Amino acid sequence: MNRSWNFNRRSVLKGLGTSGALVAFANVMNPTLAFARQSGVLHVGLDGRDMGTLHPHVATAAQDTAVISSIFNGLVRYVPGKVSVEAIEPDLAESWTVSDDFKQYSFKLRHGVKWHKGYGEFTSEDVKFSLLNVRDSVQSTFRPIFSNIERIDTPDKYEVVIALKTPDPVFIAVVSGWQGGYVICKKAVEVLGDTYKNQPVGTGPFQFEEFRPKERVSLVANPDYYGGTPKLKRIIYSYIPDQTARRYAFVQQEIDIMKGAANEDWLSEVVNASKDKPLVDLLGPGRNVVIHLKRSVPPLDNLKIRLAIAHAINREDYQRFFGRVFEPNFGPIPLEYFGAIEPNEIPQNLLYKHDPDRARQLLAEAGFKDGLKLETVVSERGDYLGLAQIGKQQLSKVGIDLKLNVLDNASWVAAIIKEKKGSLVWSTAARYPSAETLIREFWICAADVTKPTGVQGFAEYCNAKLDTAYQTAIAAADPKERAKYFKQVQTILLEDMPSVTLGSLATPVLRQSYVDLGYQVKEGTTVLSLPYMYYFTEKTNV
Amino acid sequence: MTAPDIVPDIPESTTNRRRRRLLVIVAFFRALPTMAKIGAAIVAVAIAVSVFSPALITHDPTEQSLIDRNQSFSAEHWFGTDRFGRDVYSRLVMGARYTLGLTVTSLLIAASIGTLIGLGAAYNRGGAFDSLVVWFVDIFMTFPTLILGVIIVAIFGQGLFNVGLAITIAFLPRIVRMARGVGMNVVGNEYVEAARAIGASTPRIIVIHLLPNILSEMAVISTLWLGTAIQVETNLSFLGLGVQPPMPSWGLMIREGLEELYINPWPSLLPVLAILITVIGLNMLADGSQDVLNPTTRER
Amino acid sequence: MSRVIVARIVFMLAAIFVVLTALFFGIRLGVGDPTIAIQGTYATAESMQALREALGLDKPLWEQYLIYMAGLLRGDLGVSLQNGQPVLTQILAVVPYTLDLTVVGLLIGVVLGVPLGFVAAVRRNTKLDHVIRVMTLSGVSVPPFIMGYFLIIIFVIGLGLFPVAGGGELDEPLSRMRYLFLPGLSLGLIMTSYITRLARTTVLEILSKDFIRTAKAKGLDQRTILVHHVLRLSLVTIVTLVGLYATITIGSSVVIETVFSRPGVGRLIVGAVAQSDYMVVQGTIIFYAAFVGIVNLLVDLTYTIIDPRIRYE
Repeated sequence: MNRSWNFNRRSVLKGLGTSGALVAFANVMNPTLAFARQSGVLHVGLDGRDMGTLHPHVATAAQDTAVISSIFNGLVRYVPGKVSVEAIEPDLAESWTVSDDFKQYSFKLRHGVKWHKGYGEFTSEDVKFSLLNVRDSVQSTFRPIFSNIERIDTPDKYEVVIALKTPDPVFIAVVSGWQGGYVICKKAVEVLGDTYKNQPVGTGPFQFEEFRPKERVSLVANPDYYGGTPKLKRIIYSYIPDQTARRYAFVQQEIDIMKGAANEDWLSEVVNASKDKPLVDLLGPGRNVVIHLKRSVPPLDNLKIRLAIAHAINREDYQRFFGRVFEPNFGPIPLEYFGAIEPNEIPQNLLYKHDPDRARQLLAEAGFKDGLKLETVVSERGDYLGLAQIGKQQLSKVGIDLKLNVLDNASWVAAIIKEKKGSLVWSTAARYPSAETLIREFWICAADVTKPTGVQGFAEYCNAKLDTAYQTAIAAADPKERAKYFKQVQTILLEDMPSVTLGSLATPVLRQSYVDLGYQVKEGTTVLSLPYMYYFTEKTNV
Repeated sequence: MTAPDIVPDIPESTTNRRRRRLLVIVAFFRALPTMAKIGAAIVAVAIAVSVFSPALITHDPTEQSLIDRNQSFSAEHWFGTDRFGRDVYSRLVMGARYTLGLTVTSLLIAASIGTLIGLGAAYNRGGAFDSLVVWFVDIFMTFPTLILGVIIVAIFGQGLFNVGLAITIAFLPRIVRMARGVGMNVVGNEYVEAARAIGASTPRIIVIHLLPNILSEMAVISTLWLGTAIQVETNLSFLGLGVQPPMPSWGLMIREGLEELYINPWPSLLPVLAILITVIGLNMLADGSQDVLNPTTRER
Repeated sequence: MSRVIVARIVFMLAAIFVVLTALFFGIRLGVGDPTIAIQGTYATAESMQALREALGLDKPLWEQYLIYMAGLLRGDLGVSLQNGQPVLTQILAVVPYTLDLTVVGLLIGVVLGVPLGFVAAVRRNTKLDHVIRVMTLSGVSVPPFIMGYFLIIIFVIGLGLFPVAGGGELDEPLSRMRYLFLPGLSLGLIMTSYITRLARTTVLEILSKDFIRTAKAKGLDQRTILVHHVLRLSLVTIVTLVGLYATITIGSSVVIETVFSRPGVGRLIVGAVAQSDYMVVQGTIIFYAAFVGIVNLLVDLTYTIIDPRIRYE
């Protein structure tokens, strides 16, 4: 009792007063200070949870490639906003020549290009080191694409000669600034070892500054950039996986650019809620939306059943759900890809339009007059689940009762790849926009997931005729010839229907009107931008 | 702790025990303050909705109609539709079944196992088993229920069953501790001594003699956790670690609806309200129950 | 006293050891696969095996366990399977944010909750008491993320104050506080509800004690009784129980951090679970156990300071 407690009414009031002061203090603080845009600093809101790796030869996740594209260069690059062999321009290489047999590519390198953070000058040694790393390193994700390289010679510091095993008329696209084509720094890798993947050293307009796990990655301007000092001082990429939080931050202009949701209603709501009319761009190449029909699950081995499923699909429903983000397609390859078969090129008998009666008739012919039951696994990730739920509904209308076992995304990937589960497997894949990439991963015999080399051949499909046409196509030098055989491959796919292609989904990205990308982007058209994010150049500014 | 002052004094005997148990519950509800009675009414409605949900719904809660998506309230769709064009009213009603069914079942399992373990520990007071139980309970009580839930999901993956498992495991230590405390009060009773004297086995004493005496009280105590259990389900769903679509659990409805909060707030707002009302009802009931069980703070 | 501290620490270490061991084996035998989480649909049987070897996941479980435990003794929590960063560095980088949030949440809870509970108990069954009870009842019933969105709607959408996403710069106090305000208040209001209810019950219990009645009978005036007897006694109980509420605070902080995309241990563990990043899950669990252990220790110490009669023998 002698240790007195002066906790009377006054001190209670004092306590209340303190918290009141906290509120008052917060109010006094200038509200425009932090969330107004900062000049020279670009805030980008990504939808991923965390950085995976910033090693360009390993990274595949969209939140990583977005950052990598600002740090690294390739020997050549695409004109921003375009992706095709015709839109290639010099980058680290000033010029290049191709031998007549398409087996030898020689590059003259730009002089005086500096690596970030004092790692010296960029030379032909770096190019050799980098390409050998992509081709040979166990960690490299893109080994198959580079396996055609036979030998790399460096006659001097500024010259590289690449010899190929088999002719490749479009090899130049392989060494462009994207994935394995990004040149990594030999000296930095030797010094940093395995930590290079977290502290990348490149030659691009921005250099790595700091990574805060699950929070953000920041890049600062590279003052020595060969194209001139960038106008932006800093780019901050924040990981904001929660769609609603990202929306708030964008509407409040805390972030200048953000990944949107593949949903027209959502996009227009954000635009309407924002102050200065932000712009929505649909970035491509589109993700090809495909339902693979697993052949080992009866009765999917029956062509009539597969065709019935194709006829049950109503692409208008998907347009309704996704809006202009979704572009319907009847051929297996998205229309903006080189070599894709156009709707008017598809023979009438292979054009499987929405026709529930025909679907039911095919089912009856196959002996399933009273319908059939199927069961599959699907990822709970928004886009997959939306697709699957719509698909389930459409199939039920022709008498196919599809049970969906919803799994979280990682478990779903494990289920379809490791355990080969599922009957109908949805996939949404975006690749370098040329037909061979998707054909190679999904439909050639080697892609079959039941084989050790199998990547994404979820249909477990194999047709020697298709493989032959594919091989002929990729060996052809003449683009017309290539396209012709690619289309032959697609016709075979339409005949066999191992997978039903629904169309393609673009990646919607929103930018505030005050963001100056430094290059023109036509609104309303699909902008081809491989990192699923804008390219930020030395001219980009806010 | 057995609320002696509200239960009529009935001589202890096996035949009377069942009647006594019933009387404890009736007397208990009678003794509840008004607020708790309102709470009990809310909970009763929620339970009734979940039991009779198949009869109450107007549409199949998973049936989509994309043309009718994000509609406002109408005679056809009482609470409008969500982004897949599913009927929000039907999903909400069916959601009561999933959310309450899941949490009640999980708590019931936790309560059954927990009560037995707790009683065993109380009977073994000071012994090796008791120490072990207390030790484990203390360890697991260190972690918040939500974090325990997250760990369980990390090990077993997501899904209805695993969320139920997460809730069961998260609340088990809390129930064990309660049961041990309550059990301590009855372990010393004469009839236990008598049973022991005539050579009854330990499991027999626990199940036949101890369990019935604390059953009603444990039932009340376990109900007190129901509000928290519903919150765990909701929070796990919000974190993306909960029940999987297309099951219309309330937590999942909120998570799905939040993505389009600004296009159509109702598919997420209504389950929020449903959870709030239910949990407030449960907490009102819990408050009142505590007042009854703990007479010092009771309204007089 | 020192024996109490030692006992607490021993218990904390034992708790960490038991939970960590269970988690270590459980999570590896469980359903998640970090190689899948990293490689996604690019994964092939061959590439997954290569990655597993690179991450050391191909070794027998007991060997992995021994390696991990040996590292732990040296203070090495391993590296994240996902981004290759040392786990300890990652946790230490976000701990200040989580501490800011939980401390502010508890502080607001105590500062508002204790007086409110006190008032409600003293003015029992008045209108004021009913209002406080209804408010706090709603407060403990509302899921934390709803509270977060509610405040966002008021302060951000309505008033245009405060940022919604991020944690601010640690070395700039102003920025740090701005980003803390809304998450801190969300958590604080929830904790206020819990602590008000607790304080009310505690005070009521003390008010019904015999010696208070005696004091009243002796004719001591109301204020003296309240201040000298009730407040003092109730503080002892409240401080102890607030320690228990640290677990509620830390549990709610996980959700609050997600709502505000705020860096913190909670977001670390949720992300790590989603990506099957075993190492980070293990590291964050150690943090949580240590956090709660330390809070309990502090509670014990405060206890003896507030009430010198309580001595640990």
